[in-house]
Amino acid sequence: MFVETFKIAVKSLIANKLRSFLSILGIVIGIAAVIIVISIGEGTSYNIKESIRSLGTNLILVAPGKIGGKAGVRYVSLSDLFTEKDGEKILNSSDAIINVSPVIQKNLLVEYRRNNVDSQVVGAYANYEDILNVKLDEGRFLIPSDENYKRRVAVIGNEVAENLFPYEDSIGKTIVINTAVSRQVFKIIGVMTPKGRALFQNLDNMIIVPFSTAQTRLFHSKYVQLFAVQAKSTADTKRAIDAIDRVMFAKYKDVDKYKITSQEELLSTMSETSRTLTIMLAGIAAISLLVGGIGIMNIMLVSVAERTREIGIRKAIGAKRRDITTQFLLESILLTSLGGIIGVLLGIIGATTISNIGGWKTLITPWSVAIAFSFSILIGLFFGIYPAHKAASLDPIEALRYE
Amino acid sequence: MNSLVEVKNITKIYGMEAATVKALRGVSLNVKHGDFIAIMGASGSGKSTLLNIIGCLDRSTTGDVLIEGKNTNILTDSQLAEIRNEKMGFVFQNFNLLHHLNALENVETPMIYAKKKRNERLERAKMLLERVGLADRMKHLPTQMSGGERQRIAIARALANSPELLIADEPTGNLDSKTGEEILDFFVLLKNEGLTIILVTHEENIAAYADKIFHMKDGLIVDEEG
Repeated sequence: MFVETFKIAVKSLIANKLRSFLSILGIVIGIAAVIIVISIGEGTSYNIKESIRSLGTNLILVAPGKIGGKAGVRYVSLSDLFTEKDGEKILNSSDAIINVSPVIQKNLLVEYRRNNVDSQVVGAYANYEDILNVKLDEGRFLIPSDENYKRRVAVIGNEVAENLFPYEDSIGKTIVINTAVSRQVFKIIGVMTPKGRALFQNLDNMIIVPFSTAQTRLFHSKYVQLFAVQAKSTADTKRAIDAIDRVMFAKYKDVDKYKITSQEELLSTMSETSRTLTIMLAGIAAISLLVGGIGIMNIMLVSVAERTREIGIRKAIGAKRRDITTQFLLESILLTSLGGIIGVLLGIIGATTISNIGGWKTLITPWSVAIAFSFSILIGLFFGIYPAHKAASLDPIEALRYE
Repeated sequence: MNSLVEVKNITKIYGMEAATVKALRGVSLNVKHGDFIAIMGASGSGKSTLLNIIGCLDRSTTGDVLIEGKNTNILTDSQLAEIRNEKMGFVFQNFNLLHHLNALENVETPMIYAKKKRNERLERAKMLLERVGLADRMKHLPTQMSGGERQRIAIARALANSPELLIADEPTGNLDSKTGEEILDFFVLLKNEGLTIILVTHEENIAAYADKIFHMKDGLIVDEEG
């Protein structure tokens, strides 16, 4: 019986090809819009995740916090607080932590002959290579002896190399780093592979020097700006943070004095934000689906009115209310799911075109296709109920008399 | 022999309160198995209303209609649909075929609602169409056919579920007299095979084919012949 009703529905849709097509346009456009919006959102979220990951793997940052700001005490952002000793304690606090490097950094003017560039000079240990997941194009990274002997060596970012050495090889050349009070000469030992801009940092415009050298020659400070900590694995991040928190609280006795941020935390915040945005945009696109659904209801009502006589005939030869209801519901579901299929295809084509031409990253996820398609079926069901009910309720005599 | 249809003093009133129209004012009628009866009357006499109520397409305002002893007043809409499907066959003045279905599919439709199997449906539909002389036109749409051919499809459709009662409302009204005669001759043939037929018409010569004629006027049966 269902198969027969299905055939009847298909036949009457084919009998009104143009109208069927026009009436599903709204659904097609709506579904395509939803697919495209979600794919852009997912692509963006993927990009954000990748760029956060490129900062390093399982990275945890420990930075000084603030004092005051409450109860009449003046707000002060702390600096000159952490020492290298704190770093050792952090490293020894848990087996979840595999690397700790103190970091001290500042934007300074760097020169090579007549070329100069403003770049971020970072002082760190040799293990910063693992922590930041640094890859090298040429040369080598810092090694522990650079640290111990306070060597004046530097690993430079790709952008720095391009700016200072547009036409020549940079390895072995000496550059001058200008501080407020002096000019320090450093020898270049390595060039990093381009990483791109990750969040607020441009990794390609960095110059990494040994921490001890940076402290004495560039910053004239015995303190640490922040600690870069690497957890053993993503799963260990939570344990690592707890261990760091215990060490820091034991020393500073105030949770406001230090701040622990993990990459995972950042990752989840960012992807949550982008997901919220995606859902919001998809919601807006879904409004067009609602409009499409109303269009379907409209066309189904017209169809019921036009086919009043057919309904009368069917009733006269023995169709029950249920038969008529099923027939019209199937028709509207068939319409909208057809629209759904076309919309999904169009959405996939659209998303691919956008990423090819517009250069935006798009990502089509199976769940977005599944949701969009089932939504189109639901629309057919929901907006088909009233017209189908109306058709089934027609009085057979009245319907037969209808011209 | 039991009555197939028993109509007991039925009335039918259309409209509400002041603006009512009394289409039937108390009609009683008995149709036995194998009867071929005609109901005659001018337009507005209530003959079509009576036919619709007998055909279970409509309900009376008061009074009972019994089909094979079953009171239709206590049946649900869906049970009435079943009776129309299984016990009745309708032939209308304007054919009332489904215009986007071909002849075969039109004849199949009542069997679809009767939940008959596809093979059984096809076989019977073909047999019926052969019987009405449309063996070579099964795949044609009604719009490609003449009035007489269309009415023959309608008769084949009416016979699809082997009904007890054939209800024909002015079946020759839209046909030329020669084609009309052919249709009526076929009715006589069906009657001779035991089918019960109720025919509504306003033409004497057509009513003459029936064994019994009821004359209606202003919602009442005023005369009975045969």
